[in-house]
Amino acid sequence: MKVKKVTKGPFTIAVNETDPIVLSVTIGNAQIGGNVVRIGSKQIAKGEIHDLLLGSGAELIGEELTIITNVLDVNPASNKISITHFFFNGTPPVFSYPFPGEDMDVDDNGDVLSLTATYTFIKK
Amino acid sequence: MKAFILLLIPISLLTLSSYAQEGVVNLNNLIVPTSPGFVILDKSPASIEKPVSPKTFGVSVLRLLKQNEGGLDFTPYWFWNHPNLTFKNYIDNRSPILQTLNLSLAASQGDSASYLSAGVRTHLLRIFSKDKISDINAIEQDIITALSTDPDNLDLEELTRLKDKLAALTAEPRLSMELAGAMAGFSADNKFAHLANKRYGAWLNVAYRPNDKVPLNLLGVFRYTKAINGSIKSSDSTLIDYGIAASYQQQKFDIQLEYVNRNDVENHEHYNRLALVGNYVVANNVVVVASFGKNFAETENIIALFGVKFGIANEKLSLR
Repeated sequence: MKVKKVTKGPFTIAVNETDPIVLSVTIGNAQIGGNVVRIGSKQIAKGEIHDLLLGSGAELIGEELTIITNVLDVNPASNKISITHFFFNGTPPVFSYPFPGEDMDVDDNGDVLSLTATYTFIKK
Repeated sequence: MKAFILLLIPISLLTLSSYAQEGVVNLNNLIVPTSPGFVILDKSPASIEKPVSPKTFGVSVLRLLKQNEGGLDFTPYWFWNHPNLTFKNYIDNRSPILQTLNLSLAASQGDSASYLSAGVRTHLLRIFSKDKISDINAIEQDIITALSTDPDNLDLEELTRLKDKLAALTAEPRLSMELAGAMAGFSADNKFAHLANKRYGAWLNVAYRPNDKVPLNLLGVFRYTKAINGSIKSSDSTLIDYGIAASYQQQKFDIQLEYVNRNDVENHEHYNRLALVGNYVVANNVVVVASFGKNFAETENIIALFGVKFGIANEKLSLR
């Protein structure tokens, strides 16, 4: 079992000060993944991330968000890994990895892909 | 030499069975289904196939000792990313037609004549027992928990154990049903221009596992074949096959005993096939297959077949 590490970002996300910012993470290709979510150095959640309230736009502007997503290849038919970070009330709302033309496959069934993506929030 | 190698197969199956007990990878995840093109030509190791998940790519090399026979198959669905196909969606899908839609080409070439065939197969139905779904969900949650940490702190041994446990659970539905079809062309002089349609047909494979704890599958097949200027009789034939099989499986090998009855409707003839088929996983995605018994034909009907099948989950191969 090998761990392939991929780092992305930092990307900027524009938000309104009054809007709640909500995060969901989707693992595609019938694989299984787990997450660690940090704002600055503080861990705010781990495990499956569905509709996680990160805070209001005012609270997040200027902060750095780190999402670590580890995906285990459990699909014997494919070694492809797909991770989507969705920010409700964020612009852009969706970051879908791999980006077009990029390779985020693992070598063998049973390998792990670890994606560390960072985002900073700015005022819309 | 040929007889020696054929003798080695069952011996190796017996001697290596102790290793199979220690194996942790489920055979159904490693095995490559035989191309329908071989089945329509009665050249496949098994006439009744257990529906298994096809790989992105598969390669079969059969009858190594007699003539050139090989097949290539691919599952187009897995060529692309599917960001919204979660593991839960995949397991809950009782009719994974697109995910398992597999296209194949197979060829059999002798000194003077050749067969070329094309086939398609897909799973119409896949149902897990309630207990198994519950076990799958529990393992999925354990994997998510194990993955929810910094990458340097991942417990890889625990993840391997959980992944293998999950693979064993997901490879064994209570009931599965596969629809397949193929057509085969024949050239009497090995010239592509002279290739003419010789056979076409469609069939349904069904597998039922009565007890989750006992690695025994009951299989059935119903097949329609139109043989043009058939190989058994010189005239056209409409062949209706129905058969049953029992398949006993361990983690690295399985043994299947099958009986298939064939009715030649137009010529009012009956034939049958009785075969013992073994698959053994020699390495990840490399399966040795052997088949012995009696085939349908009235002459030259002894089955003694040995081959290798390869499954490739990645569309890119690197030589290192």
